[in-house]
Amino acid sequence: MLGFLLSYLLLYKYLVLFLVVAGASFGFPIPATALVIAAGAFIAQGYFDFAGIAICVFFASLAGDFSGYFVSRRFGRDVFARIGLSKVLRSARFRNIEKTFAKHASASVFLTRFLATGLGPGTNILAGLAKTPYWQFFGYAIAGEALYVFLFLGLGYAFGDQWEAISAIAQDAGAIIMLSIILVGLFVTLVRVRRTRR
Amino acid sequence: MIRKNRNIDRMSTQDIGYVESWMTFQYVNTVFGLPEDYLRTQLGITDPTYPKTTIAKYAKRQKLDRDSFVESLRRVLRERFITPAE
Repeated sequence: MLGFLLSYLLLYKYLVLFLVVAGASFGFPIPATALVIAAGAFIAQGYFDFAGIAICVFFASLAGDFSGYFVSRRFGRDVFARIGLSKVLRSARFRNIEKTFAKHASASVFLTRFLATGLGPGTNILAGLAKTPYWQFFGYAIAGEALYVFLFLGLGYAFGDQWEAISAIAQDAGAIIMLSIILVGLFVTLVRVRRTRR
Repeated sequence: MIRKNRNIDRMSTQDIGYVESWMTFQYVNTVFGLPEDYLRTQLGITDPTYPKTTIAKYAKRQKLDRDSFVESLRRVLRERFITPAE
């Protein structure tokens, strides 16, 4: 899959990079981060220019994020209703999830842009369903994606020789950090719940 | 695997081993700092899509064994770096 995408990246350059990154940000299971790291390595080799690739990746990520958010915000509840899951949206559990998400929406949107990027599309959908304010979603998505662009293109540029290994490490490290944040969050919530029960 | 351009001046024959079939001729030319027609001449390529085609696609179109063609391309590069022409 990656070899196939790399071939098309070399052949069609910005168009392929835009479609792959936007598609992955929207939710398609495509190895976009590995491709972005590879693009960073290609910049180091003089095959691509930094500004063009950085702008392409930045706007592609935002296009995917915003599409996911808009579709979910505009049609999410209707889709759930049509497939017979409207009860889920009305349930107390989902309302709790919405409340918790609303509390931490900024951090969730910001962190999932560059840490555990696999959670990004799910966060976009949840943000849309929870009707997170536009300014809040846009602002933190823009900041997070800017960091994503510089972090992953920079990794590819700096470690061009070992981009495949770096790609795997970066994604594992992101998942570990994100999991740690979730576990700390759960622990703090558990401690609070126990205190209020006493 | 991708190698960095800044090492090209001291590109060893070992680095040439990183040439893979998913790469395009254009990319190989850029990374190894070759004139655009170098590989076309050395490998006798007449395909009009050169250099904007992948090594794998070219080998498939010409009904060549992909791995053997990659190896012959590596050989051309090795010869180039042992006796640089330009």
